[in-house]
Amino acid sequence: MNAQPTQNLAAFLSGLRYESLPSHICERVTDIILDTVASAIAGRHGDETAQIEALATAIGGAKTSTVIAAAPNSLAGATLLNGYQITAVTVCDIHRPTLCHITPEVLPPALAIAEQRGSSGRDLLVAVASGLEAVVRIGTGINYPSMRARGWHSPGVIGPFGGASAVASLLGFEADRFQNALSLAGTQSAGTFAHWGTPTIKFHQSRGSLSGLLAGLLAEQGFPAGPEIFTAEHGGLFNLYSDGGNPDAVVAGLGETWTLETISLRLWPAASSIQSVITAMFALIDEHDLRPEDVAEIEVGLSKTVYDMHGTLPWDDKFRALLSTPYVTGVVLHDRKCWFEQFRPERISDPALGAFIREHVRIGIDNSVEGTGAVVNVRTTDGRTLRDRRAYPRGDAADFLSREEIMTKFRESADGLLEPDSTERAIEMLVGLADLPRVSDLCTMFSRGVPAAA
Amino acid sequence: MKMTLESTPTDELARFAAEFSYGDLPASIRDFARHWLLDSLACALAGDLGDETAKYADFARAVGGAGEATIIGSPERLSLLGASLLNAYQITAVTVCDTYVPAHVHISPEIIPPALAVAERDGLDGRALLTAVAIGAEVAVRVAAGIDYSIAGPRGWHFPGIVGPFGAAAAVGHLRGLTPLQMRNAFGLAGSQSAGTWASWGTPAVKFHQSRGAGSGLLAGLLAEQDFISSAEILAHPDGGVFAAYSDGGKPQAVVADLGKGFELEQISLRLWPGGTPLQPTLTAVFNLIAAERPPFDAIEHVRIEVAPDVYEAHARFAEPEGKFEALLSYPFIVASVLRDGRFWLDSLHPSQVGDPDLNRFMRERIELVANADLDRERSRIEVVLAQGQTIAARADAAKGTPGNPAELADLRAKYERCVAGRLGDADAAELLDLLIHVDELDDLSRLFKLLGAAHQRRAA
Repeated sequence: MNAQPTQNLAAFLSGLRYESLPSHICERVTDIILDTVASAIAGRHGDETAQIEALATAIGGAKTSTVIAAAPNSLAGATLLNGYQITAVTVCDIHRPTLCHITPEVLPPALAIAEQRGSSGRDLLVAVASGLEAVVRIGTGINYPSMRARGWHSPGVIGPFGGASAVASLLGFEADRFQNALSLAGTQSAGTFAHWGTPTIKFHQSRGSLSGLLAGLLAEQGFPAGPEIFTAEHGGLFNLYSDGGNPDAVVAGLGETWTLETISLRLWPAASSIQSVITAMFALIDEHDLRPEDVAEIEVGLSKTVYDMHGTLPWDDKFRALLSTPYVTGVVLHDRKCWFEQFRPERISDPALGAFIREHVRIGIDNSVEGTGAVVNVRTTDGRTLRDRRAYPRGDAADFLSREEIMTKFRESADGLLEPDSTERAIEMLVGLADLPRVSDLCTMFSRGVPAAA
Repeated sequence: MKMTLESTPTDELARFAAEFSYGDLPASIRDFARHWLLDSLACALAGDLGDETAKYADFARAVGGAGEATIIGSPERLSLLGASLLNAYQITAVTVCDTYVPAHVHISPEIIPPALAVAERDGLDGRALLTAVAIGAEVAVRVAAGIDYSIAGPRGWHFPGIVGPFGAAAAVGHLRGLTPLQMRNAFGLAGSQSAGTWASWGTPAVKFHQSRGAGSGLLAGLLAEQDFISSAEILAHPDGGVFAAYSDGGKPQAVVADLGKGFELEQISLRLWPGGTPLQPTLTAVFNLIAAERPPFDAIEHVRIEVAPDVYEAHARFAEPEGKFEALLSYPFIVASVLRDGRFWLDSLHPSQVGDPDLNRFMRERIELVANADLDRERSRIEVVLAQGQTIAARADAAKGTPGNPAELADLRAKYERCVAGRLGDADAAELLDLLIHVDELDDLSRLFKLLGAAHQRRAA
C-alpha cells in the first residue's frame, strides 16, 4: 500500500505542465471547460441563484472578480456564486463512479485566481486539468460505496481538493506547498446526504469551491498542515469518511492514465441517472420521426437502483420533474426538446401532457439493464414496435459529446443572457484557450452588457 | 420537505436560538457570558504574538478583501468573511482561549467573530451582541454534547470545525432575527460545512478549524436569511445527520435536556495561562503554592509533580521540550518556569526561555513527573523540597477557570492586562475593559469597535 499518497500526488501535480498533457487530454479539458461555462450561464435560471448571489454580496469585499453572466463580486463571493451557478440547473458534469459533480468545485477558484493574477489561458487549462485529475483520483481512492454508506456526499468531501489543486497550479506551488494545499482542502471536507431533496445538496458544490480557494490561498502563505491527509491513522480522510479506501488508486499510473477522461457531461437538465432515457427518446424521435399521436404505449426499462430513485417519482414541482422518468419521457416526446422551458410550472402542470403520461408511459425494472442504462420500447398506433437500448447516455465518458454539441449547448445557455457577439467571442476564446494570452480577456466576455448589481 | 417545526431536537434547538431573549437569560448567565466575551477579546488582543498570525492576516486579506468589519488590533477593516476568519484565528492563535472540556473544543473563536462583524455592520447594541453570543455558545456546546466526543474524538474528529458552525450560525441568525424555521435551515447549512480532523494535529492547521468554523457559521446564517432550504433534520437524520456521520448516533436528548433553563455554556472553561488544557490543574497548583509561600528558586532541591496516570502517559515524553509547541505540553518546563519567575505568560515561551540551559538543567535534575492513581485529569498535586529539608506542597482539585474553580473578574482583569500590554495605551485599555465589563449596557458599540481596532501591532502583521 502506498504510504504517502498525498506527497506523491502533490509531487506529480506540482510538476504538471502544458507540455506534459497529451494533446487529446488538452482537448478533453478544453471541452469540459467550455461545457462548464455553458452550465454556469444556464445557472442564472436556477431557482436559488439569487439567494446565493445575495449571500455572496453579504459576505463583503471589493467586487473585483467576474461572475459568469452576472455582476462582479468579491473573490470569495464570485467563487461561491460561480460554483452554485454551474450546478444550479443540473446540466453540469458528473463523475458517475463517485456521483460527484467536479467542475463546480474546480473552475470557479481557478477562474478567480487566473483573472486576479493575470494568468494565461494555458495556465488555466493546466490548472483545471490538475484539479479534475486530483478529484477523480482521490474519489477513486476513497472508495465511494463505503463513503456513501456513511452518508457522505462527494462534492463537498473530495471537491475541495480540486479547487485547491487548481489554485496551487496557478500559483506555481512546489511539491511541499502543494501538499499543504491538499491537506488544507481535506481539513474542510464536508457535506452529507441529509440534505437530499433540498438545494443545500447543491450548496456543497458551491462551498466546496470556496474551500478549495481557501486551501490554496492559505497554503500560499506557507501555512503548515498535516503531511498525510488521506491515510493518517487518526483523522485521515480514507479512514474517517470511508473504510480505509485504496490509497494505491490515488497514484496508480500517474502521468500515463488520465482519470479525468472518466468525467461525463450532460446535454439536458435532468437527473444524471436518467440521461440514458432522454438519449433513447431523442434517438427514436430522430430515427422514426416519432410523435405523441403515433404512440400507443412507451415502456421504459431501468435498473432497479435507478427505478427506485426515479422510476415512479411524481412531477408536482420542478425539482421532482427533473428527477422523474415518466415526466421526462413524456415531455421529450411532446416537445422534442429538453431544456428549461420543459420544467417551467406551466409545462409541468399541463393537464394534457399529464394525461398522456399517465395513459401511455410505463416505467419498470428491466433486469437486463445495468447502472444508468435504459431500454425504451414503443408500441405505435399502427402496430409497430420500436426499440432503443442505451448502456450509457450521450455525453457519458464512453460516448463523449462532440465540440459542436457543446457549442450548441453554450449558445442555448447564453441566449438572452450574454450579448450574441460576446457569446461567439467567448466560445472562440474557450476553444482556443491554450493560446489565450490573458484569462481576464475571457472574463470580460462573461460580463459584458450584464447589468451592475444593485 | 417538512416546512413546519415539530419537536425534534433540531427543531427545538432552532426555536430556542431564534426566540430566546436577553430577558430570558438568568443574571448568572449574563455574568458568565460577559466574562467569556471579555476573556475571548483579550485572547484576540494577544493573538498578534502567534507565530502564524501575520501569515493568516495576509490570507484573510486575500480571501476577504477590504470591507466594513473591524479587525481586532488593527486599523484595517475587512469584509465580514475576512474579519470572521482573522478575528477567529487571533482568539485561538496563542492557545489561551476557552475550552469546553467534555468535547475538547474551543467555542469562542467560532462564535464571537461573526457575531461582532454582523453587530458592527448592522449597528446593533451590546445587549443584542451579548444575547447572540450566549445563545451561540449554548447551541455549540449542546450540539457537541449530542454528538458525543467520547465516540467521535477517538475516530478522529476535531470539534471546533464541526460544532462551531452551529454556534456561529445561531449567533448570526439571532442577530439577523431569523424565524425558527430559518434558524433550522441555518443549522442545516452549518452542518453541511462541518469539517476538521485530527490529521493536522501538531500543526497550526488545527487552529484553522476554529477560523473556518467561524466563516462557515457566518455563511450559514446569512444564507438561511435568504430562505435557502436545507435538511429538516441535520442532527438526527439517519443518512448523513451529524449524529450518524460523525458519531454512532449520538445522544439526541443531550441537545435539548432542560433547554432554556439549564445552561451548558457554564461548563466552558477559561484559561488563565498558556498551556494545554491538561496542564492547567498543575499550573493552578503551582500558583497556589507560590501564593502561599514562594520558595527561592536556588533553594529548591526537588520538585515532585503528580498527575493522573493517563495524563502522565500523554505528557511524559515532553520532559525536555524542543520548541514552543512541546513546551506548552511539558510539565517540567511550566513548573520550572513558574517557580523561577513567579509568572507564566507568552513571553515565558520565547526560544531563549525554552532553550535556557539553567532552566533545562533544573528540569532535568530536580523535577520529577509521576503518575498518581488517586488523581484524575482535573486534579494535580505539587510538592517542593527545599535545601533545608523543608517540604511545601499544594494541590488543585480543579484548574482555575474551570466550572469547578471559576475565574473571578479580578483574574480575568489580570489576564486582560497581560494580553493588552504594549498594544493599547493605559487609558484606552482601561476604557475598553470598562466597556466590555458593561457591554450589555451599551446602546452603541461603535466606541468598543474603535478601541478594538486601535491597538498597536507588537509583531508586524
